[in-house]
Amino acid sequence: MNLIRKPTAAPAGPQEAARLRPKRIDIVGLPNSGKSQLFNSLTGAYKLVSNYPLTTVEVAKQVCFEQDECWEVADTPGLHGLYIQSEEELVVRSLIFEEAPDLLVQCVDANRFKESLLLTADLLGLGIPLVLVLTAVGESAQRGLTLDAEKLSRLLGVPVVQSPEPGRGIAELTRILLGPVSAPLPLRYGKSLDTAISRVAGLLSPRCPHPHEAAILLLENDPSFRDFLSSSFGNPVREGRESELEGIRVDFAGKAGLTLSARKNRWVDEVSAAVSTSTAAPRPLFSETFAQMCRHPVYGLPILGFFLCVVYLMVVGVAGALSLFLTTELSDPVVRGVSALLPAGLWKDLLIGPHGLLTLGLFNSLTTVLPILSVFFLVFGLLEDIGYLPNLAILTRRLGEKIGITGNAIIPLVLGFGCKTMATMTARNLQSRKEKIIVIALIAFAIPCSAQMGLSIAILGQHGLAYFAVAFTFLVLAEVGVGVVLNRVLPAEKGSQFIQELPPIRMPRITAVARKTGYRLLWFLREAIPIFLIASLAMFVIDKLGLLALLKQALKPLMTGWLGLPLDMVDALLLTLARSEAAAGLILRMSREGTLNGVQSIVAVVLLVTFAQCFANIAAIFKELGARTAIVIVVGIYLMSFVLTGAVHEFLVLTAGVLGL
Amino acid sequence: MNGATERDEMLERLWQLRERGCSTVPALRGELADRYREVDLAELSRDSLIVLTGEEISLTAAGSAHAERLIRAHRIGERLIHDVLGREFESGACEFEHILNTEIVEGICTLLGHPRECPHGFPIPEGECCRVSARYVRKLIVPLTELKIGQSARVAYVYTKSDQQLHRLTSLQIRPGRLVKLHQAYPSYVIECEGASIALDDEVARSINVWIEGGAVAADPAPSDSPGRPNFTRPLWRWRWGPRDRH
Repeated sequence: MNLIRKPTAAPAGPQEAARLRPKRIDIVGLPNSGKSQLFNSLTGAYKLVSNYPLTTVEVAKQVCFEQDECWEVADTPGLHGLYIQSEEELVVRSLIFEEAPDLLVQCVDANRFKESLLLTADLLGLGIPLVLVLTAVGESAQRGLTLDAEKLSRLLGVPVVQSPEPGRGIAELTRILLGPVSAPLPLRYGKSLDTAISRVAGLLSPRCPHPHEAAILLLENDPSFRDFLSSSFGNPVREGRESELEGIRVDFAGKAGLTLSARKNRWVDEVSAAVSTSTAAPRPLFSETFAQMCRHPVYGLPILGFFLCVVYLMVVGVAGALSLFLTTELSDPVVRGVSALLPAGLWKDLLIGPHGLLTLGLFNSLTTVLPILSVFFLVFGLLEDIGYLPNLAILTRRLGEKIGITGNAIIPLVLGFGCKTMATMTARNLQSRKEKIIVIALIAFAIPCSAQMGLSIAILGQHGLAYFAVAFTFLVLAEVGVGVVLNRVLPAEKGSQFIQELPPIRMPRITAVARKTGYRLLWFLREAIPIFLIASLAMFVIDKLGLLALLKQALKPLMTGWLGLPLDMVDALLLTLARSEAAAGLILRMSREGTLNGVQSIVAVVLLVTFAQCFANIAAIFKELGARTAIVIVVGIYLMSFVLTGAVHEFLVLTAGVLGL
Repeated sequence: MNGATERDEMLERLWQLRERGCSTVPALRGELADRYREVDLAELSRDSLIVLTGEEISLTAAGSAHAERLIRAHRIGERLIHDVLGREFESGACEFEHILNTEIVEGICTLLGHPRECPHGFPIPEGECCRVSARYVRKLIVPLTELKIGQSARVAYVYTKSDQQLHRLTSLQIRPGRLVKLHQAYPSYVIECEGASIALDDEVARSINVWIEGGAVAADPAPSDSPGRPNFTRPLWRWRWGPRDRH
């Protein structure tokens, strides 16, 4: 890959350079329109695919070879139009303008055909060869909308590929991408506007790419666009021609944007009328009724309860049993064998001691944590692909307003249950800084990420459903409390409006979910096993040096007094610094062995979820909020974690009898 | 063009300049360009519609009232052309204020549901109809929030404070002429538009105004959920506040 990107010898000429440079293909489209799916099918790589917007927040690139061509395919965050509305969209537009893709592939969600066409209208103006891929065609046909792909291709002058189901139509797309694709003709906006556009384009400096579309965006007066061009390409307007540009703008009395937008919309209507046929009133689909029920304030709750039960039973019943089975059948015999073979001493301790490489490192990850994560990722992946969570989250919006977040924060918060780091990154498109801080702090504080969630359920499930319910009630209350306080403390800002597209409810495809789960587990193993091993080695070393005993002595009042936990929990606390799953595995084992009783398990889980900060997430917080705020948040969370956990312990000591724990 | 029309144009420009807070002679000259005539300014001053203090121009009470009528007619005209007849309002509406009398403007204003802003986002001065008769006339255009659950309606216009929001709604296809269906009103408004389900907060939902057939919604004082389902989707207090049809 590097060889191709950076040729060692200077290219002989432009043709040579073109041969050495891979053909750059950017996949663009509306949020949740199947771009990542297409990326995976096209490149053979795998990146996460889900049924909700904001699955992709950063550009992903992959080099692949197709016959004798070398392609660099880029997957991009969702885009509505080149007049941008959020930060992810800015990323995509900058990519198109700065990195000069050779080809654009637009995913056109057939369900949202007109919305997609509005983006096509902008893309046509770029003068980059364009290929449309119609996705979800089967789904939209069920809803009574059929599209004539051939006619669409004729009208727009661009190749159109149909992909009735995820992964279909790739062969045809590949064939088209291999052949020459000519640049499409831009939209006509009527005589006076077209003249104005070409006049503005003529004023632009030769360095400015895509002058036609750049001229349109300048006329539309996109506030960020001019600054973007200036910073990337120098002043976009030729010297001394500034006043002419102003003159053209004045000719339209600042209304060029409105008229351009009206023309685009009319074009969308015309094209859509020409190529789409809708059959009369299709019967309401189950998926739509179900989506409505998920969001319903009354019917939504039993559905939530049902899904929670499924997750709980699967994790406790299936995963817990599996993990126990593997422990007794695999790791215990090995430990016994090693114990019989090796004499007591340093080597035995290194392998199978309390901080042994096998016990705390390998078996902890493979037989304790992995089975639970496999089952939980599978169930969670199903929920993701159904599109349930964002629809459910609508229910919580009113509560959100009380803690200073608008509905726009729903998706980032929901994503926190998947991966906190991704969630923190999606928070960047929140407009108010106050809201951004609150959301990022809430994600980091007490939302369990999928791994933590799965393991927490497994730990608490050993004692019973009530323990799970109590622990998660505390976490919810803690989140609300922190939200309310932050909302009070931070200076008020003008609230932003909440407009959120919801993903349709879909029947998940088992193969897709299985593949996603497989990759998640693979990533976990690849990242975690070395860390598990290093962490157990480090623990072993500080134990042997006597530092661990000193630390335990120092932390004794905190651990046994304030938190009411056995002193061995210090080990888990240290492990969270490396990887929270390692600590969770240890807690799970302690809980199984009876070192932790039910109440202590609740305290331990609350401590685990709030105290364990993953490094990637801390890095993301620094990136999104800047060092000063990030330090305050991270330090604040560590302190709050002890305060909260201690409070939970005190409360449970007082009320355990009443609660029947 | 006779002098009266020219003077009306000038008054309108003065109103707009006052909105922007720069009512000066050079600004006015810049606005009107070659249509600027000293003689019109002098006549307006003579008729006590304006007061000239050096370069500063201020509208008198009479001048202000006259300009308000003109601006109202102009902007209502733009709304009419924009919302009802199509979207090419630029050429048509600038003559509107010179042909429409107050009654016709009131009629159009009522028909449009008493819009508060012209398509450019400038405020439309309130008319008598907005203040008094609004309650007595069947509203044909109501905010989205007045629809019943499951009811569909066409978007008439979107009244927003920010360009950003208008742009966002337009890109989601929520724009004049589009059919939207209200799925849910609580805890968030959820509408379906062109195949997408979109959740909105109350403020955004109120900013979307829709045509309703024969005022059916206004005639029903207590909007209820679809039959067979309990109505948990609207807070109780809104039942009493819904618009009612007195006829």
